[in-house]
Amino acid sequence: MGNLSDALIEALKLLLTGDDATWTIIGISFRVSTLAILSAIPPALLTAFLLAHFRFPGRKLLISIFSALMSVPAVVVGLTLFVLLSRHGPLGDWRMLFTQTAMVMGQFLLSFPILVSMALAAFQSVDQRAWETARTLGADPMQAFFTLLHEVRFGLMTALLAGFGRIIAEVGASMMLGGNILNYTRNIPTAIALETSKGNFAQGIALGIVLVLLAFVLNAFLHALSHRNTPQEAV
Amino acid sequence: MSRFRYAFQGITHRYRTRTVISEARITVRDGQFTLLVGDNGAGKTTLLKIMAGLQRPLKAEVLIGEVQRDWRQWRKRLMEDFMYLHQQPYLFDGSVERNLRYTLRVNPQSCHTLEQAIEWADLGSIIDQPAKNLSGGEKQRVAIARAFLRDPKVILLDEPTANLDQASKRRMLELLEKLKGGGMGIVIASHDPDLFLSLQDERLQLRRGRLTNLQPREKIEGVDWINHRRRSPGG
Ligand SMILES: Nc1ncnc2c1ncn2[C@@H]1O[C@H](COP(=O)(O)OP(=O)(O)OP(=O)(O)O)[C@@H](O)[C@H]1O
Ligand SMILES: [Mg+2]
Repeated sequence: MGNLSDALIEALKLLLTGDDATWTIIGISFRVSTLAILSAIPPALLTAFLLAHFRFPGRKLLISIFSALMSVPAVVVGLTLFVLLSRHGPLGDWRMLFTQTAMVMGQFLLSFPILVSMALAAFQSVDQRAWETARTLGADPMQAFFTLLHEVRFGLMTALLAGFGRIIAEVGASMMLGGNILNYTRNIPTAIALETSKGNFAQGIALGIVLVLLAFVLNAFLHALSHRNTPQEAV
Repeated sequence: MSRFRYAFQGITHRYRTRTVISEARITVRDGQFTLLVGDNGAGKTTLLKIMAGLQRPLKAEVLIGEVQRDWRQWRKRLMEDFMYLHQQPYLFDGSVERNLRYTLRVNPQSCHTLEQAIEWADLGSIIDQPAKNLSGGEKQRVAIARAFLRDPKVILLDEPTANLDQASKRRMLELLEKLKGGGMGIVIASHDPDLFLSLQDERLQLRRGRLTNLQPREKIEGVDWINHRRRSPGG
């Protein structure tokens, strides 16, 4: 067990002394996942809004597709994009495989269904009267849309945190699309997988600690939000 | 004070196979107070929402000024000129003040100020309260203050006195009287018809899909409301 406690102490040292290699990896992870979630939010919110507010053929089917896509394994998403982006694939000319952009695309696709499904639930939870009130008070459709966003902001934050939680820790898509290149596409999960397989536990544990702490922080936020979310109004 | 006239004709609406409104005609003028009566489920809410442009009817024609068009072609204009007040008002998340400011923000051309609205509807004591926590009567007052700020040509009120005590009812009546005096057209759906005797110019009944004008001589329970109105000042 001496090995393990040594590794743990070493891991804390890496984190607390601001070890360059370790913090570069952490930085890449947050950069890629933040970009992915930020680019997924606008189209996901719009999609969720349309699904919540308009009845059209195929709507129910779309909703269940998004809901099913939430649980597709990250490797499968990675594999699909890999085939598209590889040299001889349809998007091969983009020369994007093994770049951060490819990782962002993979994580975009992973978070999108979560954002849509959870934002849809948030939009459906808000009273029909909210939209009608905004419109009849003189808001144009765009203003009314932003009014709704504000009314369901806690539900949307929950969706955002859940989406971020999924992509920051996923290893499959990042590994296949990024290629685990040091200082470029090596992020927390792929670094943990690599370092551990090489027997270098200290860095693996250090990065693991970051993910666990993040999980606690995200959960605390979700918990706080779910309390704000409970309706105060009984109509 | 501007003069106006909106004449709806042939309003017909069906939910699935059930016809709730059939070939209804109703005219609204400046400063005119119309009372709409009818049993539960008669279609009053449906009719008011159609007039406000919030709900698409199966069929309706509207004459505005000299131009008669299909409801769909006038919809935008109806949303601009009419305002619908829900039976249970929906107030946005945030303080009473935020709700009033919102109304001003989406109606930048409003000729009233926040301070005027607060005084007009006597909201000084609750202006900082969270709107969601107000009592039913207080919510109604905020809702009507929003109408004051929005200053539409016509307001359509859906049972505005349903949950009010006697004092609040009188207060509501005073506010409506002021709006009418200012030239606003008012249509009220109510199960409390005697309350408005002093204000009403016309009484319509919705029954089995038909909208009929109750003639002045068809007195309600012995109250001659035409004479009642003559006696009241300013009506
Ligand atoms: N979205 C809807 N889908 C199907 N049926 C509806 C819908 N909205 C209303 N109805 C039905 O249409 C009829 C008229 O409803 P509406 O709400 O217009 O009546 P109302 O006169 O306002 O009743 P109340 O006095 O109870 O408020 C009712 O029978 C109601 O069940
Ligand atoms: Mg009703």
